[in-house]
Formats: sequence, C-alpha cells, structure tokens
Amino acid sequence: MSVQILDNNAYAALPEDMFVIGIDESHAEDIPRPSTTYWHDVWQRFRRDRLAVIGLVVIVIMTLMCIIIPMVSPYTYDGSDYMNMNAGPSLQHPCGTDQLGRDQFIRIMYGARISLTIGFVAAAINFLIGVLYGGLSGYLGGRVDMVMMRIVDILSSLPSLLYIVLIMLIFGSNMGSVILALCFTSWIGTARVVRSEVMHLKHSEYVLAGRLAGANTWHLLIQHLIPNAMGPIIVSTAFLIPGAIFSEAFLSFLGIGIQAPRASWGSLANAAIPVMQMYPHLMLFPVIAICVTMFSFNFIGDGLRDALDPRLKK
Amino acid sequence: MDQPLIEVKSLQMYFPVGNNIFGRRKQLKAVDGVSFDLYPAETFGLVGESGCGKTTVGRALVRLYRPTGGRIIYRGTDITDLDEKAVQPYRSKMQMIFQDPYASLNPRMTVSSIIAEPMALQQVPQADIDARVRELVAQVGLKQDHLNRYPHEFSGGQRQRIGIARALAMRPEFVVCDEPISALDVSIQAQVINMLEELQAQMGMTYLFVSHDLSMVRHISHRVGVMYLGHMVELAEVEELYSNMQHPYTQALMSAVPIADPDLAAQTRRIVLQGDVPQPIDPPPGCPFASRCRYCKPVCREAMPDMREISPGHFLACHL
Repeated sequence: MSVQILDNNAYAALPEDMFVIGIDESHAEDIPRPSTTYWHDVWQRFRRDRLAVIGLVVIVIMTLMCIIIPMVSPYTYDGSDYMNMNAGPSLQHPCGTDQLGRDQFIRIMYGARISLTIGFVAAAINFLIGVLYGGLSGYLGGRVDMVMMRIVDILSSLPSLLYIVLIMLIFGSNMGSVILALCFTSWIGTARVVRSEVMHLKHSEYVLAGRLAGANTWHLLIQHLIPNAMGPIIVSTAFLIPGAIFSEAFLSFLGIGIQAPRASWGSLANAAIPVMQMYPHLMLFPVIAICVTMFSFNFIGDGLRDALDPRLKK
Repeated sequence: MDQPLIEVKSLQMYFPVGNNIFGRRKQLKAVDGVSFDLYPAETFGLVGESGCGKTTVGRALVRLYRPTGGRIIYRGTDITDLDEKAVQPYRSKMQMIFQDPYASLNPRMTVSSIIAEPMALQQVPQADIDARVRELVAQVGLKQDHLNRYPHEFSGGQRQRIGIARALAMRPEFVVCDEPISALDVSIQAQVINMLEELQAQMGMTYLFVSHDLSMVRHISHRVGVMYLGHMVELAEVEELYSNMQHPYTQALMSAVPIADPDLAAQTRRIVLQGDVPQPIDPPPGCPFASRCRYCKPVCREAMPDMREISPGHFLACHL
C-alpha cells in the first residue's frame, strides 16, 4: 500500500512540521458553536421580521398608554365638558369630544383597556383549555379521543350568536360575560391543533424512551409532548387575540357587549353612527384604534409563525 | 447453559388496521408466534428484512406494547400482562437504544436532563443523579461541558452515545438495540459498536441486537435469529448459522451480503428471490415463505412448519 510520489531527496527537503501523522483526537468531541436554546433562535428569527417587530412595539406602547394615561389624565371616561360638546380634535381634547362632551381620547384608552384585557385573557383561557383538552385527546387516542372530538364537533356546530346573546342575557353585559361568551367555543381551534401535534409526536422515539424511563401520561404531556408542540400552539394563540378583540368590538357595536357609559371601541363606533356625517372624527378614531391593533397582532402572529417554523416561510 | 434471563414463548403482536367502527377490524400480524430465550450477558442478533417484525419483537419485550398472545418471562416472572405501573420495576432493568438518533432525543431538553430523566422519574436523590450523569457522560466519551447543550448541537454519533448513556442510567440488565447503527456513518458505526461491546464486557448486560446489517450482526452476536414476516425461521449460534444455514430464506438473505473480495464475489452466486413479501394482513396459511421459496412443496402451502432442533442449539422452521 505504499505510494511513491516524491523521491527521497525531495522528501527530505520538506520541512518536518508540514505533516501530522494520524489525527489529533483531543478536540474531536468539541463543539465550537456557542450553545443556543430553541427560544433564543426563535427570537433571532423574529427580530429580523420588521413588520412583526413594529407590531410588537405598537402593542407594547398601546398597553402602556392604556394603563398609564387614565391614571394621569384630568378626564374620566364618563365626565362631561359641557363647554365643548361635539368638539373637533384640539390640544385640550386630542380626539375631540362626543355628544355629551366626554373626552374621546380617554374613552378610546378605556376601550383599549377593555379590548386588550379581553384579548389577552381570552387567549390565556383558550390556551389552557385547548392545550389540556387537545393534549389529552391526542395522547389517549382511541375511544376517548373519539368521544372528546365528537363533543367538540357538537360545540362548534352551535350558532355562536345564539349562545352569546343567551350568555349576555343571563350574566349581564359586562367584561366577564363577554370573555365567557368568547371563550365558550374558541378554544376548539387550539385543541384541534394540539391534538394533531400530539398524535404526531406521541409515536416519536423520545416519547417511547420516556415511557421506558417510567413516565406517566402527565409527565409525557408536560415534559415531552407539549413543549415540542409549542410552536403551532403559540401561533394559533397569537391569532386568537385579534379574533377575540374583534369579536368584542363587534358585539359592542351591535349593542350586546360593553354598555354605556363605559366605552369600548365597538360601542364608540356604534354611538358615532347617527352623527357620522356631521362629526366624522367620532367614528374615525375608534376605527383607527381597531385597525392598528388588528394589524399589529396579525403581524406579530405572522412573525411568530415564520420564526417558530422557518420551513413555512415563503 | 444457565437459567435464561428472558424467555419468549410464541409471542404474538397484532395491530388493528382500518377504521371500521362496526364489524370486525382486520389485523396486521406483525409478530406471529416467535419463541426464543435470552441468556445473561449474551448478544442475540435478530435479522430480517424491513417490516418482518424485528423492531416489534424488541418493543414488545420491553413492554412498550402489550402482546396479543404468548408469554414473556423475565427471570421467572411472567410480565406479559402487567399494566404500566406493575411492569415498571422490571422495565427499569430493561432499556432500549433507538434507531434514529435524531428522533430519540427530546429537542427541548438539555443533555443532562435527557440522561437524568430515567433516574429523576425513579426518585433517585439529586446528588446521586448528578454524579451518575457525569460518570455516564465520561463512559460514552462525551465531555462534561456538553451537559448543558441541546441535542441539535451534536452529530449523529454523539447523539447516539447520549442515547446509550440514557439507556445505561438505571444499570439495566437487558438492552434492546433497535438498529442502533443504521442511521450512522460507517466510521461512526464501528465506534458505537465497539463502545457497546466494551460496555457489555464491563457491565454484563444482555443485548437484543436488531439489525439488517448481517456482517455487523455476525461480528457482535453470540446467537442469531432470522425472522421473516413475523415468524422466526432459523435460530443458531452465530458461526453455525453463518456457515451451515438451512432455511432457504436465510440462504437468500446471506447471499445478499456484499463480499469485499471481487474475485471471491464473482464466484459466488446470489440467490435472488422472486415476488414480493406477502401482506402481513390476513396472511395465507402454511409457511410464510412458501410463495417465494425455490423448494416449495404442497405441504408448505397447507401447514405452518414447527420449529425443530436439527442439531444442538440450531433451530429451523422448514418442512425440508
């Protein structure tokens, strides 16, 4: 197996340190790349999506504003300024005042409190119920899964306006009952996503290894299945928030959600309809608030989807 | 020989297929009547083509599946029908090394928590776990500063060694190696195989080595079983089987092993099987190999051949 390429003189002329005989094994197991976690990578990808970052910034600013401004503002959502009724935007009232002289800006901020609270609380409740229900259904499979999914099918075939109106009638028109009404069936989407993810993951070898290690159903769900299904779960939850906010605005617009004198973006828009031709700013600002929020949440959702599953990126 | 560690008696594993809620479901007979014994500190190779039920046998032995029929006896105790809770004390002594090192490690857990998981679940004190994890990592040739990294940062061979460390955590007596090297590069295969052999020498474990790499099975095994379509067709000591194979399927399988010497390879005739493997759903009666066998006789299509001992330790299921 000897290969003669150089004659002996030429070989002797070569410097000795040109060759290392064998391989240096002491660094064979080293990993030069700094250790990163999955969430760190996700954040790196999310950061590169400009629209999503803008959306996130807008939502953070809006959240801070709706918390702080009502605390420091001279106006309250139901206090009237009888000197300035139906006034246009001015330095004193940045978004003008309504028919009763109430400051429109502070009412929009109160509306933002309601909208954002409903959005986040509804998403959190949906997340909890959806993950638990979908996770159990997917993991247990078989007959249990069949029964659980048929229950979901029945729930999702109920006409939503019917039970929403019923819930409002029974519990009164307040934020709690709006959240209850919105959460009644919207967790089904999350549950279906979780179920399909779990059904797919439960046959993977690390779950088998977990079973061999003596893990019970609970441990497998919490430790192995749900963390690995987290990407799609987060994306579906992120898109639930704007959905819930929009539904609340819709209900209040129809007059079955948040009631006067309290303000919600939907009820502000509703109140502006009769006077829209004379005082368009009363309609304009709540609608802008709804639009900006919708866009921001949807951009965040898109950004999260791309960051959590880079393969989906177009 | 000594007392067997595990006795497998006509193991059957059927899976329901099809979604018909009404009426009877069809069954896929993945394993249909397989019997063998495993002795302490031996390596038993299980070979056969894809879909013949090798992996299913391995998984049924560690009771990831509940067998449809037959018995699994572990040190004299019947563990066939124990439920998840009752089987746990036995399962700590039985572990598994998986085929795909990319799928067998949870991507959201660090290496140390992956290796520690079996111990944490058995309520081993945290200090003991930490010490044992360090020991195991050294044993499989990884570094201590790998412990806080995630699986995606490792190569296939390193991941497989993490899997081995996890399997060894509870000091098992029996390890199912489910094609542990088929997903690895050839150079890494040797490294992992040598490690498995060393660990066996140190700890006296029994391996069930499932593989379709016949040369590797010959190298590592003491005894070998050949499976075809859910049945064990031939079982013998490794040298006996490789030099004196009797079953037509074993002969065809062995003739497919590549020979490194081209001159020798030119002299050897490869037996090429005709036809396809029959469906394991509602298989025809008789010998499972009958439809592809060169020596098929009328009796082969009617009756299932029994396993008989043709010479000491050499078992054959064939009518010839």
